[in-house]
Amino acid sequence: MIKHVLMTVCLVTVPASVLLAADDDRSVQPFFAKYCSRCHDAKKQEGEFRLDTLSREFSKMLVAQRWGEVLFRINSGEMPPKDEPQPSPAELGEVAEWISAQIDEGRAARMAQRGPVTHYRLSRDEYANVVYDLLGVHFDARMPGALNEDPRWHGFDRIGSMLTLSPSHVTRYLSAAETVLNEAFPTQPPKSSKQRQAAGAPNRWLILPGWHQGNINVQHSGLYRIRVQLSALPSFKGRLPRLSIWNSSLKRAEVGRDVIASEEKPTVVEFEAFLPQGGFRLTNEAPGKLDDGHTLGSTPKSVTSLADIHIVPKGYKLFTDEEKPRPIFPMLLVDWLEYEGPILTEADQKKREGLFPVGQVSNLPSDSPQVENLLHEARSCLNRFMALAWRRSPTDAEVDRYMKIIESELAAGENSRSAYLSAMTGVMASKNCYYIVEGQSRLSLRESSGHTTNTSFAERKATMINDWELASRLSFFLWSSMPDEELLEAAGKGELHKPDVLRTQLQRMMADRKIDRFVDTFPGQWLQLHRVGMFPPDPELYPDYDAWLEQSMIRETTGVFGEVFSRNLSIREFLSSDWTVMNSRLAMHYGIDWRVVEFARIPETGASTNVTNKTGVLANSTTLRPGFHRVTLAPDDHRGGVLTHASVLSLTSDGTRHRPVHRGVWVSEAIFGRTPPPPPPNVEPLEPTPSNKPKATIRDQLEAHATHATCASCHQKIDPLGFAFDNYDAIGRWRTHEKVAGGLGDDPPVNARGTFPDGRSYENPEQFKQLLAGDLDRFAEAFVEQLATFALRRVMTIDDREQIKAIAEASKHDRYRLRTVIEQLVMAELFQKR
Amino acid sequence: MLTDDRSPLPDRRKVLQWMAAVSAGSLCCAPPSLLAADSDFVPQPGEFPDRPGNYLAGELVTIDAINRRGSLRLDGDFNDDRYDKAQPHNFALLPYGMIYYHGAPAELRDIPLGTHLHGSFYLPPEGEERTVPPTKGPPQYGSKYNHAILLEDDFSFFQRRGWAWRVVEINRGNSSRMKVAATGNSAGVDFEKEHSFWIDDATRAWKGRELLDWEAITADQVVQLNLTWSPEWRNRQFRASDVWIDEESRAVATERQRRIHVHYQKHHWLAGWVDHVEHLGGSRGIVTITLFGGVDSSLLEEVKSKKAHGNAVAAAEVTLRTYWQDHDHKGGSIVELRTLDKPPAGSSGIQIRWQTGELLDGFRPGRIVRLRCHDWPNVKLPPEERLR
Repeated sequence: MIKHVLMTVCLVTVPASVLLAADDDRSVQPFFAKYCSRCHDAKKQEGEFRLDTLSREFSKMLVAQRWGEVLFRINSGEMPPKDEPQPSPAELGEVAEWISAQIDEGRAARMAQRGPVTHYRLSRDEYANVVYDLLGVHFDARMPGALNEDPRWHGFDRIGSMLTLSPSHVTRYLSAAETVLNEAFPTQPPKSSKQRQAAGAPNRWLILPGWHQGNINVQHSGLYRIRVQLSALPSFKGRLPRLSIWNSSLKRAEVGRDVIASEEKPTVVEFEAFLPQGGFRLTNEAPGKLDDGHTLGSTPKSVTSLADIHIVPKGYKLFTDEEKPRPIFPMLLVDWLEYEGPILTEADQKKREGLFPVGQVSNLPSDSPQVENLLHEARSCLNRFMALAWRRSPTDAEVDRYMKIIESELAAGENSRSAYLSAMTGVMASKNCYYIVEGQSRLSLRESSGHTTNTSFAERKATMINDWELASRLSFFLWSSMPDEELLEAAGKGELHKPDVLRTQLQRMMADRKIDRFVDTFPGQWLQLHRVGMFPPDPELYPDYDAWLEQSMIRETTGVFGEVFSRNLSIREFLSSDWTVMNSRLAMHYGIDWRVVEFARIPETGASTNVTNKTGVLANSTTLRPGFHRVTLAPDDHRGGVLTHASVLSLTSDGTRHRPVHRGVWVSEAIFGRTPPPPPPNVEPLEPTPSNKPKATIRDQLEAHATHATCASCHQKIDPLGFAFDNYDAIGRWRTHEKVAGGLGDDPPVNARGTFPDGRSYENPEQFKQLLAGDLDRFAEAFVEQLATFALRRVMTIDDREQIKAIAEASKHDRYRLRTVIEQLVMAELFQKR
Repeated sequence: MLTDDRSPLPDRRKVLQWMAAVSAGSLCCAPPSLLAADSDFVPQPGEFPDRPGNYLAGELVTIDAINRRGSLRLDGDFNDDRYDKAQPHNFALLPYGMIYYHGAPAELRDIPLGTHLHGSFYLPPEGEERTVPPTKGPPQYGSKYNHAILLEDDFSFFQRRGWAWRVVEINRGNSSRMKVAATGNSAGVDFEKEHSFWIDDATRAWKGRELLDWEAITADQVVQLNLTWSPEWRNRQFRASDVWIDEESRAVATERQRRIHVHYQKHHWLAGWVDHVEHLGGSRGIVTITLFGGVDSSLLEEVKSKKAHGNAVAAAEVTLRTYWQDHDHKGGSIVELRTLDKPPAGSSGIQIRWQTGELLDGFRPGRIVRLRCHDWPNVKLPPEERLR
């Protein structure tokens, strides 16, 4: 059942949007005077409420709440009362829009408020990155029981005002620190070992979708190298098998990749992945999971040759009935698997150097010379560890505090390792580790970096961040992690804010592999890709939908962003393009016979993978090639630009039907940077088409229901943004007719035409995209705002608008190339403002 | 119920030859062509035969009800050597092979040993050449036609043709005989002679819903009868085991058997074979199935009327045995149901397109499946019936 489809939304005029200053209510004052004042002014206060003196300072919570009540009464039709003169729909729309915009601005101002010292907590993904970059330990912050999920604001999970701290967080940070440090500095370093399992020639393990074979037993979490020799056959529909390493306890694939290799010419696939302690198995993660235990038991698990598979009538059907049978399912035939680990790479080993004292003592009197030597070394190590973990030089007093922990632990009889680890745990459990702190006392920081000693209260409230803070802001923006030593060194010298130094560092950081984190994270948050699959599509309506398709949808969008970034293309490509990044699964979903023009740079997973073909010959199929590729698009593919990505079209649907209004809201937020207010209460849901009435599209039903004055006013503005995509169903497939359950007659044709409030019209989604792309300046401003929100970890306010506009304009000369936009943001004053 | 239009039996001439032989009795004029091959047609998997089978008749002497196999003591042909040395004729029912007993569809298990049957047989289908072990004994007394498409008791055989017997005379002496004359549709045909069957106090006489002694059989009654062994079988003489002496008794017998058959089929499900599979991707597909004939029409009507409720289909073997059907079956729904105007023998004339989300390996053209309507019992069959 579709609920609340009919939203009353008040969207700023498309494409132009000029928000009124809070104290400028001239445009709406006549409305209040004409329809409200008679009962709510100095003479009369119906309901003990006066509107004429109600403050316009929307940044104050109580004021905003009262205006919210006014909006609610207007939206719900309660005000003005029925026996009073009634405003026109246009008047209602205008005043509702004004109030909503002011409330939003007020909220943004409150969320962006910064005190003398501002604390931005790390998101759990950032914490995991910090741990890895600091100690070379892979910590899965998303593992159940690890760290709490972070709340999001319009897709962003790093907004400081949202990331509060609870006792639960503190407990988990402490536990995480102990886990990480014990892995980084174990009592006995685990020995790396190599294991091998084989099906036993001539037998081969048959792995159908959802099946598991082999056992990988991980005693010590860490980096493992896994090699598998196998054949991998696509289904007769062209679906590729997907070899994955399955975590048996968490029921999830840790790493995987599409593979294709004939039965006669096996391939060796190699993974390098961080695996937690536990049991793992090989699986075929391709869609079409066969989970009927009884039927599974009747299907062979091991074969010598596919030609020799005998029919087991009650088992699953594995091959078609053709003269030359083809596999019905993508299937894997595994000869053997090897796994080796835990592997400590030189790079990760190096991260730990100088952080842990080499000397070890236990049960010695505190005045022993050995203890004295140890403490000396420990202080040096601790100082270095704190500088890295806290992303700034610690003061002597701060180091002293943690040295006392070591001393007291030794005095209590603990051995030196345990005592030192206690101090390290304290450092990692400190707010200085999991908070990005801005506005810290200049005195202490400059003292530590050897600069000026004078300070004042005014200086502490300085509006610009210092170099340490700049280093963190930059690294968390681009790497979602701590600064590296080179960046800290530049900050320590007090030179990072210098334009040439900052630009050099920026270029270096964008060339580092860690930039992949930005390429994955930012588009996901900007476009709210976390909502993909939030409402799982109805398997009855969409039987072809599966988990791998869902992942492929997301990877298309992040892959396109990665291509634009790595090739430094214009952000116009996000709106309209003649190429995309996809794999065979997505091509099948789109019905595209793809033309592979080159390999995309995007790895399939976070872990590195290598494919070595035994014969040295790559699969020569042009349509079945594992992995994601850059693909050229023809006009009749009806794709190009993120707006027609299946990810976006799915996340704006409800799993059953597409939601034009949701799509319009999404376009408004992601492309125009403006959030329409929520719908009014008690909106009647759309009912399914009655069986005795002709079939009607959702658009037809919406238009028939938009009778409420306020509804009609706002829908007029938002609906054109969503109707443009009516040619795409709830999982993003192209269609010319909308499938309607119930009702009489044939499925009705799609109407994807629309007209903006400014009069511009479009006939189809392509024309809609061209209209947006033609207004690139406006999109660029919205994009910069999204980028700045991500980088500065706060909501942008009206105070930031001029600077955002300036950054966009500065990028225009280079046709809004993505790296240029990023550079203009980083080099702008806004980026260095508190 | 079979009609003559789609009878797999050989032509009328063959039947009349048999009757002539029965009539001849001790006249020792056995028709030498009775066991001769009329057709060396080899049934093909997935195809119903397009020509009549070879007529054989005899008493049922062994059965393997579960595997739908058995053996017949072929009727005597006045040959002493054969009388002395011939071995039973082993046979298997084709998957679409039909059985009628008391005028209603039946299973092999419903027919008592010793019942005289008429049948239509083919050579073994391709790949089934070794299904039926060769008959031991002198080869000239065996038959290579060992796959039956039809078996009927005398009741069914004659009633289906509209024929019956009019009792001419009862002799209850030392050599009790019942002399009968063919009646019904046979009138005017080239066979109107009288026939004589052994009869005694072991003969069951059926009247209305009652079982009576043989004295109830009297002259001028129009009867149906079932035959069984007599000591003079060499000379094609039979004893009447059962005589239905009125119309009601015949209707009761037919209805009783029909109910037994319906009960059995609802627990074992309707058999058919796969004509075609449309693979839709993954394990999804549409399976075209033709249901076999030889089942009560009420069952086929249920398939039609209940198709909206979904069906279960289980993989089976040519013996019609399933594995563990209450677990192994897959659910799906009939997306199309066609009724053929003139279905071939063995076919019910009902063809369905059945869509499922999980295709089994047994869902392949030519292979056997069994279909259940949604409200038929979904029970585990006894272990000896299940395939392992």
